[in-house]
Amino acid sequence: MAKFSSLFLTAVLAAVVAGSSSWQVADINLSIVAKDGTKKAEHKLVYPKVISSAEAFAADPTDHLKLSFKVQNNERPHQAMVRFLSKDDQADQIMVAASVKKASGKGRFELDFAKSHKKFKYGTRKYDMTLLVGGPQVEESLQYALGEIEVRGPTSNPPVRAARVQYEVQPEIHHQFRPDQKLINVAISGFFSLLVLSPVAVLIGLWSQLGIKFEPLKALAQNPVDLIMAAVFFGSLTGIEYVFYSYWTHVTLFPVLQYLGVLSAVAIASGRSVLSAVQTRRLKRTEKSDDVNKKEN
Amino acid sequence: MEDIKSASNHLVASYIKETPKSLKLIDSYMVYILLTGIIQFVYVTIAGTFPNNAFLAGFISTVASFILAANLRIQTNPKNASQFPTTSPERAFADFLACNVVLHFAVANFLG
Repeated sequence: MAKFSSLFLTAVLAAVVAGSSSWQVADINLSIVAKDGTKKAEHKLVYPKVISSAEAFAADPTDHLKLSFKVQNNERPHQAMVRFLSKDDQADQIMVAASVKKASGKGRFELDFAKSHKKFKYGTRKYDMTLLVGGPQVEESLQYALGEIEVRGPTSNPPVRAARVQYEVQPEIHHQFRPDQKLINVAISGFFSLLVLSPVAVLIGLWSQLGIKFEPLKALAQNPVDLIMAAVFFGSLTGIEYVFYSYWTHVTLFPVLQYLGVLSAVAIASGRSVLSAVQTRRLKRTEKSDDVNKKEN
Repeated sequence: MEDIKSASNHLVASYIKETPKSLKLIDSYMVYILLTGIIQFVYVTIAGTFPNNAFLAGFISTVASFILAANLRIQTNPKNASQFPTTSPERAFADFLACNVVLHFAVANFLG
């Protein structure tokens, strides 16, 4: 007996602390009022009664829709609204809020179709109305389908709905690579490669015609140091040219710079000695010729 | 016409007789460079400029070599010796070689 009474007591206490389990909404009154104030249609609804489509609940764009109800719970809802869901392809949702007085729990709104949401004006459409009441104190929110209403669109200047973007597969892009540039015929290019080397023959011919004396070579042969220096000089110059050739074909810059550093130092050193030898020979030659001229004069 | 002919004959004869051998050496070298440049230019008018850098490298190397040879000629001409008191012909030749080496480096770089 004591166990049962304590269980009963805890259940009562829990009910009292938790509050009501669902919203109780009564005295729901939906009416359509014309611009001049005359009532065109009125429905008094009790959950779960629904305004069927047969009853042809319709409103003109100039009409007002009036809703009033009373929340019978002790608690007051945070949200009380009617959702209009259009029954066509677009399935537009329009929420119209109702203000609920804290003291009495009475809620109402008056919806002017002409001044309200743009979506009402997209044409004559049927909407499903749902009364939504919810708040934190009551666990289960109320979703009461009120029924169907037909709202007629405006007779003049109906708004145009923005075109819906259709995302779909576009045609495949085939990238066109630029065709390779045409190279000249190998025969012509080869012929001209040989032709461009032919002026060397012209050069050799002209030089041989000059009648160059090879007197410096005899002087070099007599002086081995000079001969070695001359060989080193020409060798370093040829080496530099070979480094350039290999740079053109396959070697990267930094090894080339190292080789060039070494070879140019060698070339400069040997070149100075070779050219100074040439200069002494030239000066001796001009002195001799000067002496000869003086003698003649 | 006759005047031009006789003048040119006189010019050529005087050139052959009076120019020192060293200058003739340089002159024949310049003729060789000139011919190479002309042949390259004829080729590019036939074949088009692809690849562009190859043509430019080759042609500019002939032009620059010609200019360096001309400089060498000016500096080693005994008649100009008074204008170059500090530059002996050997010094001019050394400069010529060094500049040619730099030119060949640039050309090898650009040739691709």
